[in-house]
Amino acid sequence: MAYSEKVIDHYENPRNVGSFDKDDQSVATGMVGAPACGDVMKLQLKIGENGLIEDAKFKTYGCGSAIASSSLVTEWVKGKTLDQAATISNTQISAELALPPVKIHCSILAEDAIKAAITDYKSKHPNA
Amino acid sequence: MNYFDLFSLPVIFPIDQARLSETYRELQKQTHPDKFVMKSDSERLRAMQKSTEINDAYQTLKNSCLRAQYLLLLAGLDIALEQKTLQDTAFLVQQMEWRESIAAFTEDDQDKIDEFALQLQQQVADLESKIEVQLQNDELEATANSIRQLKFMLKLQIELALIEEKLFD
Repeated sequence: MAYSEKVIDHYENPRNVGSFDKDDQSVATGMVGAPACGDVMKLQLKIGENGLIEDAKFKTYGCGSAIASSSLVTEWVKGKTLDQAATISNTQISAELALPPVKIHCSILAEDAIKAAITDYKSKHPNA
Repeated sequence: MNYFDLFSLPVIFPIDQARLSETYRELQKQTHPDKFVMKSDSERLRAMQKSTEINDAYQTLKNSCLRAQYLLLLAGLDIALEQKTLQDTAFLVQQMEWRESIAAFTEDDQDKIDEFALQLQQQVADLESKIEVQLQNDELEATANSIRQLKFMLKLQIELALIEEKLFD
């Protein structure tokens, strides 16, 4: 299957690979997995005191589309509030990367990773 | 007729693999194209469709994960094409650690690789036992979750086989 140029670019030069300390109060961690293909994705957001996402990192074990989807969302979430980040949808991700229908689940994984990270942040900061 | 009926097997998770293969060969003989050379087009077509069905059934029944998924389907829950993500953090953290160790294996780690392969085998066997009990008790959602976990274990086995091939072949 042919990957789009954008997928190949993110796959060959993934942005923001790595980890933050998951116990840091300003860090939100989202772990998600896709049973269909066994892909595992960790997305971490670092949230500043002004409530904006300062930085993001990811680690993904999966196919090129899964890596590209997570790399892309680490770029997209920066500078956004959690509420804004929560609106990023798999349709936007798959459109940007021109994912074929069989790879839509990779973009769903990235969308759910953002949502899981936000849930983690809210459990760390119940009053935020 | 469901796949188990097609193979005259009881509709349960444990399966007699020897009997399954034997029945498969018998059924394939009955629908072999050679037997239908002199028959009408419609009979040939029917034999071909039957043969395809037998193949699908065999591939589904011999694989524990697909068999469990099929039993779940018969019980009324279809997860074959689901795109839902798994969000069990503890399970996924463990998955990620295992993927990291697989990626870090080198030529000197044959012992560690063998040990890990055994560990994975045990994980798969434990999940299969769990699935058997859950299916017996008609716990559909719990079964679905165990099948999802099993898929991740099978993926680890594939990744481990790939790295072994890369390191030692």
